[in-house]
Amino acid sequence: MRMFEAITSEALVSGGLIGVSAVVIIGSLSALWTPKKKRRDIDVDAAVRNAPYHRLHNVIPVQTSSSAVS
Amino acid sequence: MPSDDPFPLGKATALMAYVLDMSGDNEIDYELIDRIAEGICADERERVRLISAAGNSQNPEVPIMLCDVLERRLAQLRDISEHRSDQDEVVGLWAQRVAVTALAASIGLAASGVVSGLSGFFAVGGAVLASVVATHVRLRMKRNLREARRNTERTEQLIASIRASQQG
Repeated sequence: MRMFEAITSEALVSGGLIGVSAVVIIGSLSALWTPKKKRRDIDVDAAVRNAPYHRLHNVIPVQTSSSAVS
Repeated sequence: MPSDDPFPLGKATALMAYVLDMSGDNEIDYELIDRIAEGICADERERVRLISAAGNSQNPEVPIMLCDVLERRLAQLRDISEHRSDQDEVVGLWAQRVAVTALAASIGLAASGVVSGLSGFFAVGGAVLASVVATHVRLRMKRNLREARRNTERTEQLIASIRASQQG
């Protein structure tokens, strides 16, 4: 326990201040950057192309590739 | 007057098709539907197409199902908005206050001579850096919150427009 007296008050205070600053910097940056969750790679364009448009028959008129109006 | 022009294949019609597919027995990819809805909400043209398609639909239940799917998305967006608001108020504000206190303490202690020399320089410099970072983080969090709120409002407006097209 004698070794704690060797820490000067200057070292304690400046160490404490630097430590607090480091906690603030690291803590706030990690709170800003962590919530970026990875989203599943979904190909929306392929999903739009492969959508079951036949279900829209008799609901709304849809352009088909044969250009016949349903 | 119901429009006779055929609707082009796109995100709006794809969403209607998937929603109609939901009443069947097959596997539903909710995340896919959410992504399509996200694409529609962001694009002005797709929003208008969706409103027009919902208004012209022969099946009166389709707009109700569309609104239900969009409301699921709205609930998720509201969750995100509240989470970001909490983050900003709790973490952002705390970081700023601690940093400013450290700044005041370090300058005061350096002035009174308790800390001096290199460690004093790092203490004051570190506190200044911490205040700058905390302010920057707070600004970013507020910007994220604004973005989440705008997305929520736009989805709410789209749902309201689809409902209004039913009264026509």
